[in-house]
Amino acid sequence: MLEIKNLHASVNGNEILHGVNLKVNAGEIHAIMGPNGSGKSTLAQILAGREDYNITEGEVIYNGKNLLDMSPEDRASEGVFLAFQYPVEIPGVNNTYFLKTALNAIRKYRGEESLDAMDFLALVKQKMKLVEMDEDLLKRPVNEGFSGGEKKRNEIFQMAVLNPKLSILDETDSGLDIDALKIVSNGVNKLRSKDNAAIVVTHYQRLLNYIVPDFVHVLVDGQIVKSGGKELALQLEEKGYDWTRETEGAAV
Amino acid sequence: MTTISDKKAWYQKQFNSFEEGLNGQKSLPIHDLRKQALEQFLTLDFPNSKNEDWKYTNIEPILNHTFETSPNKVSNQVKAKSIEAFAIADTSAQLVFVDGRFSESLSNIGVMPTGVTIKNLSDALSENNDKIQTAISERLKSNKNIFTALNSAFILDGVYIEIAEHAILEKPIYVLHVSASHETSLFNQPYNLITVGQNAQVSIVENYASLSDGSVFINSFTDIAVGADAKVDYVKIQQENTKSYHIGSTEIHQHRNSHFTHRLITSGGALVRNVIQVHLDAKGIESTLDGVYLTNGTQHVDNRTIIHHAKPNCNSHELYKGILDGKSSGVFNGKIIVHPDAQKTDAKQSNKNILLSQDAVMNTKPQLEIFADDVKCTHGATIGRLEEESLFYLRSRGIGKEQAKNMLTYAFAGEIISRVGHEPTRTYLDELLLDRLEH
Ligand SMILES: Nc1ncnc2c1ncn2[C@@H]1O[C@H](COP(=O)(O)OP(=O)(O)OP(=O)(O)O)[C@@H](O)[C@H]1O
Ligand SMILES: [Mg+2]
Repeated sequence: MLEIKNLHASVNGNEILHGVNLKVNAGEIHAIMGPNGSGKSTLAQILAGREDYNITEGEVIYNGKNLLDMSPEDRASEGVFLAFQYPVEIPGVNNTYFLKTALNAIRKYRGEESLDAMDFLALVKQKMKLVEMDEDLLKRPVNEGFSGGEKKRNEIFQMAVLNPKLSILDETDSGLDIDALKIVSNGVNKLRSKDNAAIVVTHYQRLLNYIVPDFVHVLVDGQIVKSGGKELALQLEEKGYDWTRETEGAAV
Repeated sequence: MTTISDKKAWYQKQFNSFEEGLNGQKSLPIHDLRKQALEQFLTLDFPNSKNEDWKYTNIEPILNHTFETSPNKVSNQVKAKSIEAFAIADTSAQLVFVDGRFSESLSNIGVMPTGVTIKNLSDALSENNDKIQTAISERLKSNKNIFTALNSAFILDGVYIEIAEHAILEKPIYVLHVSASHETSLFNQPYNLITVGQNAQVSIVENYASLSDGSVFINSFTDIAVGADAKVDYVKIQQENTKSYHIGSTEIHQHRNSHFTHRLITSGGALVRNVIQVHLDAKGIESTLDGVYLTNGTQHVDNRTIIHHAKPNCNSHELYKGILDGKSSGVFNGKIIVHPDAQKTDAKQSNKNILLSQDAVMNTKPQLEIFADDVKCTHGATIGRLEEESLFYLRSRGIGKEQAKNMLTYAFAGEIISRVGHEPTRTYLDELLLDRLEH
């Protein structure tokens, strides 16, 4: 589904990603862990189409297409979804209106009919239950004044409505209390299928108890320095990132 | 028309034909004031960029145009169907002016509650209304503004609204001005006199629109007196075609504990200049001036507000928002004068702008003149672009770049529109805005 090959990216002349390689197949969940500032969000944002980064080398193939050539909206329509680490507040834009516009834009791209108000409402009601989101949040401007946890829940709610093929969750767990973490993870798991895939960026093993990954990758200084199964996350929790650096160092 | 005297001669000539069309109305006392105003017009100078107040607004395009005075009789060409697009539901009265002249057939002034007088100015003049004469003659005494003199010289139509003490009109009075002339470029000079008595309430929506793509010059003047404890809400909409010119002055006098709001929505016009002057003449007054302007192409919109805080314990609030695209330009000049007497004044002013293109230009300048010491005055001005972060967020959800931009722009402007109290007017403005953004 997704293949990232030797991706180098820089911002203002500073290289942040120094050759990232990653392959994600349909049905898989990949966890990416790594220290603060290692480039996890940068990678996530580049996949979603953020234009602030210069891709100096490498390529990203998504379902046979060159992902980096596509606009953010086309990527979304092709099924890429990023749950932001820091969801943006947009005063004056109503949450429901925003989501309906987004869904219908994607449907239009795919040659499907727009959902009318009734059908949309039915869909929204169903998905709201999935993440146990408060209906009031829908009536408010997008993320404006939402608590940290409410913002994260809103991201997963959007994901549920837009039903993407490739979901990238950037630290969706941070800021969530234990109950919310369970609810959100449960939501993600319910959306899981053999046809879609997810990349889950997190700092904590905790989340991975609920969303069990097929692979765990460790990103350090803009490179994936270690990959393994779900047990790798446990090792990291125990030994810290220095351990990966040491083992890397020993291998060279 | 090359020299200034030629330009004035043109208006003199227009005055002569206007006068001829007046027939019997020439014998009314107001006509002496017209002639006096014309004299004044001829002695005053047209402003140019050397005048500080006109630094960024060049009126050459108006002066270079040979606008003719609108016929004194209303044209019957315009049918109800053609103004349907400008309808606002649930109003208490609708007054329609075609090329500046009152159209009885398109208007609808039903039976009004006691104490409420609504009529067109021409009728009020025929009744020898001395309120109008007093207002005009008082103004002319100290007037230095050539456009004000021009307006008074051609005074003939507009609205006359009088709300007596304690009278309340729940639904707004809708005043629609349409320009319909194709071949001839017309000028018209509406004058509105609105007097609201103590403890009375009224709201007014005034809309300027074009039915043709002809060029028009509107030079309007509105006088509003807000009595003690009275409440007046005024909405002015400018959606003329982009060959139109509009110079509008509004002068408000507020009395003790009165509330006044003015909301100005400008989406049309080649060159628009609005001057709103509020006199807070007693204690405990609340005054709000809001505006939103959307410009594109080579449009130019100049907004100025002047708030005279003359007495203690008054609050004024100003929020003007601009969205400028293409090669358009905007000016905001907000003057707040706090007189020595006006302790405990609270004056807030804000002007926020978004430039959607590289070539759009905005000039914004607050001007505070404070002569009292115990006052709170805040002002701020921003000129920025749409936030990249927000744009990316919307796009990452599948919303196309143009639509995402429109959504953000709409949200920015919507803040002002959401403040309009009358729901059907708000809906009308919402649609105007959305329509404007899509084109
Ligand atoms: N637009 C930008 N301008 C300047 N520096 C940037 C920009 N975006 C990212 N960086 C830098 O790139 C590095 C990687 O940042 P990134 O946000 O990808 O880290 P992260 O792995 O997600 O960290 P965290 O775990 O704290 O979320 C950081 O040093 C950051 O300051
Ligand atoms: Mg991050």
